[in-house]
Amino acid sequence: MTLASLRYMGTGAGVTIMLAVAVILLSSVLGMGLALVRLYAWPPLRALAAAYALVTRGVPLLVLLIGSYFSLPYLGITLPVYPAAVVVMGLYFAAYMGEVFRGAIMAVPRTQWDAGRSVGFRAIQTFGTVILPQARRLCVAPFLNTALSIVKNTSLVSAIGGWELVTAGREIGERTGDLMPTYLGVALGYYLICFPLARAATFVERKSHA
Amino acid sequence: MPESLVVVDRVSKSFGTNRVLRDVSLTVGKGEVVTLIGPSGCGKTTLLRCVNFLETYDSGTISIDGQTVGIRIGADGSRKARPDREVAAMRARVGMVFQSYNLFPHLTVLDNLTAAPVKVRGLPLKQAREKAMALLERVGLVEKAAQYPAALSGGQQQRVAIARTLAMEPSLILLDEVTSALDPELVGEVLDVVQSLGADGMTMMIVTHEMQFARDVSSRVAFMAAGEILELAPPHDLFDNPRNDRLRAFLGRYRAAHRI
Repeated sequence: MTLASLRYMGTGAGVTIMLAVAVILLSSVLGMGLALVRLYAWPPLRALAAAYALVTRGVPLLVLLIGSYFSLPYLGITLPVYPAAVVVMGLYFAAYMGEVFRGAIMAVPRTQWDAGRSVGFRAIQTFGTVILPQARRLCVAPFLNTALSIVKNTSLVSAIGGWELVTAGREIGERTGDLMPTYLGVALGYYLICFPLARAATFVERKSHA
Repeated sequence: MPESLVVVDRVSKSFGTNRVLRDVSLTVGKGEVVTLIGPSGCGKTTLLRCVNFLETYDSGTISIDGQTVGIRIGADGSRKARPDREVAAMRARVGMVFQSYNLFPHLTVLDNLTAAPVKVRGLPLKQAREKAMALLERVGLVEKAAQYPAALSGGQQQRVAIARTLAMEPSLILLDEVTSALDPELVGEVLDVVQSLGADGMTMMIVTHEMQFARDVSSRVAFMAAGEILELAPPHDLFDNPRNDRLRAFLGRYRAAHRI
């Protein structure tokens, strides 16, 4: 593989990272909202959020990406490929992030609510001062796992014409005919992006068990 | 009889079809220590939790310093839930110590003691810290100020929990089986702290299974069974001269179990 090919793939990896960061941010914000709605909102809204999580997690991301990107124009909505991909993936992974946050908040013992309220905290203060900081610790490992999943799933953006690491690899492979080394390079690229995240997850997990 | 601080008036509560409190009435005077004893499931912990509204009650009223707890009674006798803000303000004046300590595990011992005074009372952090250190001194744990709760023994955690409660300068403290989770050799250090509070004139309501402690610390002892207070008397009367049959049976079982 030439240096030019490597540089080309590096640029693709950069796009992948930017896509992943955008999706992680969007899905975290939406996921936190979903978690709070599912835990504390008016019951019909809770049910709606639960249904959203259930349906979203039951459909393949590829179907959602292709389905929405190619059918939205018929409804008069045309989005450029990257914003469309970020929005669809953000909505999709919000369901997973919501479960991550909800699980962590629920894992904080109920007695901590008693303790917080008994010292005079209002419900919202108890949540912010007592529950959320403990939930944050509990959710780091599953959060990083979902982030890994997001990084790898940005590869599906190539299916709707987005240019990123996989597309870059495919182009190089088609140009040079060196399919095997090229795709190994692509795989290595993903691994290099994910490795620090996976390490962080292991580290946090070990620390929280200590 | 001193001026009354807590007035429980014909309070009832059910969990589903299970009536855990049946028309319970009880008055606690300022500076009094009232202990609730009775078999498991008799409603004593539920009553204690109703007093600071960690548990709602279905009928009757509980008032502290003349203010009804958790609900407002309208002129027509209607019951309306108080907003969270008012309930929280009431709880800020009523301390509670739990069986399982319930310290905030993500905060150091010192921060456990300063969190509520700073966030609820608006006390400057420096002042809150000074007061917290003085309280840790009182419970003999100054050297643990920078530790996290997990590094402490059960007895030490419970003493921190008592100090956390005192940091809010409560006019009433509720203690819910504060020694039940402790190894026997750690019970004494916690009871000593509670006893010193009583000696200082702190008003307390205590749920306990330690009869000797109840006898030593209480102004009056209430015996509860099946959601009712069956006997209420100063400790020497209640323990040495029990009138109620179920109380006699309860004390007999207790003495048989604790004969060594």
